Amino acid sequence: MSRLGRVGVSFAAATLPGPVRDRYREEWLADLAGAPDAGVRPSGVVLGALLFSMTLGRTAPEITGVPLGVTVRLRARWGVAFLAAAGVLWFGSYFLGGGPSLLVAVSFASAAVATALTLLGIAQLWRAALSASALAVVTAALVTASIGCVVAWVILEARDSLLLGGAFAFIVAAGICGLIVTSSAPPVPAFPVLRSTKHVGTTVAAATVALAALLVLGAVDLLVWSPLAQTEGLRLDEIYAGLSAPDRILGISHIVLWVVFWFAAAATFAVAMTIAGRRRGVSRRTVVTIALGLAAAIVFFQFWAGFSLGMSIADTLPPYRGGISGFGYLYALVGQLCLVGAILLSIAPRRMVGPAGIEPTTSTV
Amino acid sequence: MQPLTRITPATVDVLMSLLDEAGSRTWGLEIVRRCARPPGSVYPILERLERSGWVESAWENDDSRTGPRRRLYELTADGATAARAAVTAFAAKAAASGAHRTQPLGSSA
Repeated sequence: MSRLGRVGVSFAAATLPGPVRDRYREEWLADLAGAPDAGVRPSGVVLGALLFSMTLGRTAPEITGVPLGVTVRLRARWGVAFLAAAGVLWFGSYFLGGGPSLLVAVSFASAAVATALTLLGIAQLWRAALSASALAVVTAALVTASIGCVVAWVILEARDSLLLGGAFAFIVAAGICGLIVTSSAPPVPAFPVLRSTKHVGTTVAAATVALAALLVLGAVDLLVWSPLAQTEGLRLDEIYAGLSAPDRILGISHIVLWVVFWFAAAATFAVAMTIAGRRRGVSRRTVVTIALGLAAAIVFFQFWAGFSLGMSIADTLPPYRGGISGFGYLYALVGQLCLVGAILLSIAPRRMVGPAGIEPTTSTV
Repeated sequence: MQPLTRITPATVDVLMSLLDEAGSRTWGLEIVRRCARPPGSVYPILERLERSGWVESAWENDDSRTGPRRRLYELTADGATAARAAVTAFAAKAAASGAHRTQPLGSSA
């Protein structure tokens, strides 16, 4: 039995659904070892395993270990999660365009990831819909049509308001159809999901430190780096001296208010999650999801917290234009990624522990 | 047990191989050899037959052999009845059309 052959069948088995993975891996490894006895070429076994893994119908309950209805819902949730995450990245790359050259490259990378997520989301929605009902197929088609309109509007620069109107109409119709599909779907049994409550305290501590660091860096950016980036050749003391007292006080007070409010939110998060963690009432995933959501909110409101000071500088000091620092672009990107993470963790289904290791029902062992 | 949605010549070959060994379990690769068809054709058929309840499978219980266990296949009682009917129907259809003849198993190809 060649090492390459073992790698081939192990790879084929690794792509199979969990409930049947170990069974076929062992079966194919035994076939590979016994191929000379049966007069079969080992390469034929490897090729057979690969073909099998590519053609296996993966929605059958005997293969997945869960009822078809559960599989459909899981796929639909992955589809929605991918599309929502892609939406955040699309909006982000659209608004962040024009930053420093390195960040333009990052923005392109972000758009590439958004494209991949969009395609994955559409694929998952269609896979779910094709296993569900005709109305589910209509829903997937409407979502695809809506995305198609937006792509045509943005990428092809066909700035026709009809396209945006069509995108809106299609997505509203998809939402209505989706509601009907989900509300009329038969109930499915609940499977236990993986829910780790270990190391919650450590996770809460790490998340709180990260949120505090995000606030400190955001404040430094608003008070130091952003004003310097907005003006040409002025020192920081010259910038603040150049502003009127009311503008200076109002601008700085907005930033201080932002820092105080979100420090309080981070502290509340730390206390609440620590208490819940001690009672095993919260999972590590929930802690991370909330922390990522908080981080995304901190970054989103950082822009508004610095708006007053930035406008005052743009109105008062040369070259009389707004803008953000290079760090500001990076900061906004981090905020987007945090929101993407929060969306994926909150919408995407948790890993189920029930079906693992279930053999096909027709097997006797 | 569920009826098969389609019965191809390869399916008939697999069913005939299993019918030849009715009452005993057969190693999957032995079925491949007897059918003289590639594993890539036989593996999916065995999976489909098993999922539809025509076939049962179990691990070989042979202490003399070390390493990964072989998977053995056997027609269920209902599966054997359905397999005979399917093979007969396929042969009759082939004879009527004259377009296809399944090579008898065990004969030299």
